Amino acid sequence: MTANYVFTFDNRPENITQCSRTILAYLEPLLTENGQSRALLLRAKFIVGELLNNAVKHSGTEKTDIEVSLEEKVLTINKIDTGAPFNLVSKIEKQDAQLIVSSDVMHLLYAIKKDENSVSFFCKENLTFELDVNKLAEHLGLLIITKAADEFTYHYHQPTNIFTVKLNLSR
Amino acid sequence: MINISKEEAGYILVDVNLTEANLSHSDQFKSELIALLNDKQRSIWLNMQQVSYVDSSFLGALVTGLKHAIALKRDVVLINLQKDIDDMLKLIRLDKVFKIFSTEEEAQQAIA
Repeated sequence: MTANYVFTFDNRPENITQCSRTILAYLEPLLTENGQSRALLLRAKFIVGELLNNAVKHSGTEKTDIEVSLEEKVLTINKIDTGAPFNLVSKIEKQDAQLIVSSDVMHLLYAIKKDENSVSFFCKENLTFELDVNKLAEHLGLLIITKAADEFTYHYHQPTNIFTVKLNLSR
Repeated sequence: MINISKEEAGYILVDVNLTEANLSHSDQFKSELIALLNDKQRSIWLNMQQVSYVDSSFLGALVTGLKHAIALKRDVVLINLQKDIDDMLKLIRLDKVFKIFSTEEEAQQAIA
């Protein structure tokens, strides 16, 4: 089954809840029809919420498009805007080079350059940490998306920013 | 947004009166939590029963509140988490940071 829909968000914090509910009301029957458990919907819920947060905090535009599609057992969620580019793409010079985006006592979040205009995010857990609360990060949005997603990338093609999240449906 | 439901010698039990704890509430929540810690000088046990969703901003506010509490030699404890919230905390490993209990009684037995 294939599906595709674009939701427009006005980037106002007071409308995050309503926009998130609208998108999830679209996703829930779609995922159920495709035999998915509630766990995948929950991951999608976390991701949608953080993409909308990111739009409010960083887009600097009046609207953001959230494009949702389902094809070949992969749910794709794109956040699309024409705001200021995320400087990671220009910061990492060489293909396949990595940069630490954020770190704390429990996680290291990396971006790796995929091509001239794209980076992919991945995370490593510190499994032997000694808990020091003062060394905990308080900005957790990209980490949540990275850990909830099967694949999370950012692509800049002037003037458009696209964050792409992929979730693999169980077979 | 947060209301004291009980004051004990060692802790204050506080109801979090939010369903969707997200960016539009996180700054106010953080201010109220820190003000309460400063005012009462006791640990805060947050009853999260009503909360069905938390985002990164709210979790960041919780972490800020915990840091403030630890600096005061107090704590922020989470009680009555709905399963989705518990799953979110586990996803980013904050279940290893906060003391989490199903009920106030369970928390009392463990730490009070």
